[in-house]
Amino acid sequence: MIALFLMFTVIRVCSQSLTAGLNVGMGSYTMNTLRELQDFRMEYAGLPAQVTENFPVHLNGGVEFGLCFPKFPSRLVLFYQFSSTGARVSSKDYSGELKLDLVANCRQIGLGLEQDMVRYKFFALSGCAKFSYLLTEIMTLDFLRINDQASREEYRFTSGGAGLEPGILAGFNLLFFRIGLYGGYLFSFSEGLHLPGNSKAFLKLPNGKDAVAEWNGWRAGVKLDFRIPLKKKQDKKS
Amino acid sequence: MSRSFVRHFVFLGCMVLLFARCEFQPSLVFNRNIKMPDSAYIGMELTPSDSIYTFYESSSLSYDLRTFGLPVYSAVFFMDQEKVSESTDTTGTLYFSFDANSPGEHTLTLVVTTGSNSGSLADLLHAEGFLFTKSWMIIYAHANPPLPCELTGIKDTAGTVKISWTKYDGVAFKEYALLKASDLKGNIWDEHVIQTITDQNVTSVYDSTHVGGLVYYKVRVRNSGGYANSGTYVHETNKSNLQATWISGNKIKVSWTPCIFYRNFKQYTITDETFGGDVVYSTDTIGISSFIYDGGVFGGANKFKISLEAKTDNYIYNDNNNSTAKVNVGQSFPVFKSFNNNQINNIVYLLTDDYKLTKINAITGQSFGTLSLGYGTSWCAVSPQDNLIIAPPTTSFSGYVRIDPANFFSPANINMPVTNAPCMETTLSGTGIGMVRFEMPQTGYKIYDFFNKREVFTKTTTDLTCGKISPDGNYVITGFSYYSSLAHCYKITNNDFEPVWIANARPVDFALNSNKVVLINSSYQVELRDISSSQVVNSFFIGQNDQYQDTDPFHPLMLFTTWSGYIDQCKLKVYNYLTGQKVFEMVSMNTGSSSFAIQDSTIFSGAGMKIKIH
Repeated sequence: MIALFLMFTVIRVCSQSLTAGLNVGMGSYTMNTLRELQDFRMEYAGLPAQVTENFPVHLNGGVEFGLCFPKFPSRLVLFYQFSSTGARVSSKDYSGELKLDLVANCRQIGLGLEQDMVRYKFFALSGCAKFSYLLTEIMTLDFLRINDQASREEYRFTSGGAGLEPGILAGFNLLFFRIGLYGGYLFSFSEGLHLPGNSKAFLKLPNGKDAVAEWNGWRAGVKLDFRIPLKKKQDKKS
Repeated sequence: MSRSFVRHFVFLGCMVLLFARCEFQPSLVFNRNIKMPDSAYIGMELTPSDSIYTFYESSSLSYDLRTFGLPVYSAVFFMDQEKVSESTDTTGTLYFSFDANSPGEHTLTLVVTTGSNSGSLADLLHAEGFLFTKSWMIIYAHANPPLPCELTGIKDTAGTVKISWTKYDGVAFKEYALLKASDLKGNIWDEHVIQTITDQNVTSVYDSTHVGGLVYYKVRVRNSGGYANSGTYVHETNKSNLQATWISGNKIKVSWTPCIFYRNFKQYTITDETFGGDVVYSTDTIGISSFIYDGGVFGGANKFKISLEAKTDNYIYNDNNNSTAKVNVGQSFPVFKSFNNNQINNIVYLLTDDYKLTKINAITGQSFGTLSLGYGTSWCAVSPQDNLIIAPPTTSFSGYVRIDPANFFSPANINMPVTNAPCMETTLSGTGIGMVRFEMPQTGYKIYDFFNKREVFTKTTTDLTCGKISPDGNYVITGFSYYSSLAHCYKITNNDFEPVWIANARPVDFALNSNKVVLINSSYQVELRDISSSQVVNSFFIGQNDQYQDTDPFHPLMLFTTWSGYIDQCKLKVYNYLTGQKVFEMVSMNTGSSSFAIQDSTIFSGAGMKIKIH
């Protein structure tokens, strides 16, 4: 309540406008231990299979709401970012099919700062920094079908963590919105994956290591902001 | 208002599009492009191979699956509708219990499940494969006992024996068994199976156990209903024909017919069966057919037995009639109780248990006749000059018997007082005098001339004991009793017994031609002492258990015996008393109470044998 009160006060006193934006882009993900996990699953299956997908670069996207200031910072935003990737070990022939899937989703909630460094007419080049809380969720699927008989086993694991993502945004202000190109690198710090209802039931690799979702990697994408001027409305009222 | 609506509409639309496709969805699949197999072949065989099996008893069949690389998941046998066996092996044995199945026809079905070897996921998980089935007819039937086979030939060949017989053509064949026995009289006490043949078409075998002799063969055929024996056929070859021949002394030559069955020959073994059956010779050289045995036993039949041992089955050929041999060691000689010789020739006088006196040449065996001395005659004395023989009276009313060897069959009596009696140990001198003891009315001794039937002199004394007159007739030696330990020598002179010497030894005999007395002292030392001078001329040691028997009058030989643990067995030892060397030794049998004597290098046994020593 205090934070909301302070934010409201800051908005009323300092900000020139509100922004609401969304972004979409691509991200790469380290996922070293989960790659080992997939290797183990393939070996344990004991069947001729191949890794067909192995945590590839994949779409991510998010929304943010923020305030614009005349000096520092140029923008202060509250953002939500969703990232996803996965892997598959598969084998298929006339008699059946084997799939060992793993889908990893990451939800980030945090604060972001932008500071315009260069301005020229409607173009601005800004430095960015995002501080976030990471909530990771992975789903595994063991699927085997022989002729018309199939078996399916699914498991779900979660973990928490933190992220720091520095980046650069090149934006173009047009009418009431801004469109920009963003690039950055996420440093993630996650705990071990565990069962959702039992934070001590960790997912372990055969070598004893904890399975950890490593979301480290490059981020690039397109960003679209909508500006809602505040001072103008206040002037009209006054 | 319209611009704000458009703005919000665009924003929300972008968010929907953004989050609708943002979660990663795995989509790529590894397709292995394997073709599904449509057919396969395997081989399913039973051994012995057939389509219809007739069982007369519980039997077994083995199966063999040739799968050409297909993995076998199961091989299940069904007898009619009942599962009787299940396995995952490609080979195995199936047992058919005769009692557990009813007589008649049954169907045996084999159901084999294999993998497909396609390599598909289903194949790898054993969820895909082929199913094969094959059936046979099984008939359970009862068999009657077989008709017998007959032997058609028994032939010695290639060091063994080939036996042939007629083939069994009936059903339910199980085996032929060749039986063999080696007893001669038809009492087949050692009949045993030497070979078993399970191939019905094999109708001849080689008897690898054969090493010769007289044997029986018969063949037994067996089927599921029983068995039948052929007649018994006799086969006789290669008898051992053991023979034993006495050579000399204790040497016996043992010979036999060599074995011709070299394939199974192991060794000859010859045992001395005279007393204990000890092995005295063995050899594994098949060509050897004799050996010289130096353990012959004097005085009776020596028995030997040969055994032909085979390499296999511990079989020993040995038949009573041809594997044993007997031989006498020594030459026959009349049985005697006492052997009475002299120093003139080889004429000896044998006194027997039936109180007869036989005059005989001990060397040639020529007998000069037998004289009956009457019941109870226990001894006689012979003059060293072979001119007189005396024997005690057989009744209290008869006189002493006086025999002139030159007129052997005309004995005469010498009448003496009842209280007079020649010493039983007495000898006669070369002149025919002997020693007589009298008791009443006084005790004393006489020297009596039996040759001239007159008294030489009489000495009343209690200090003397009965003794023997020396061969020259000049001395009397006393102490011949077995328990005596002193020898007293008295010279017969001036109608008296004049003491000459005393020896700490027991006298046992005179050496006839040398006028010496033989004594044995307590140290088991034999002394030949000159009677007149009392000098010990020769001496030598004997064994503690050696007992003196006799001294050869013509050779420096002295005979002793040593009794063994066997009642009817002793050891003969001959010493050369000049050197003290033992010159001859051998075992003698049948000697329970026999006397022994030695003359002219020949040992005589009272049991009726003689043997020339070296």
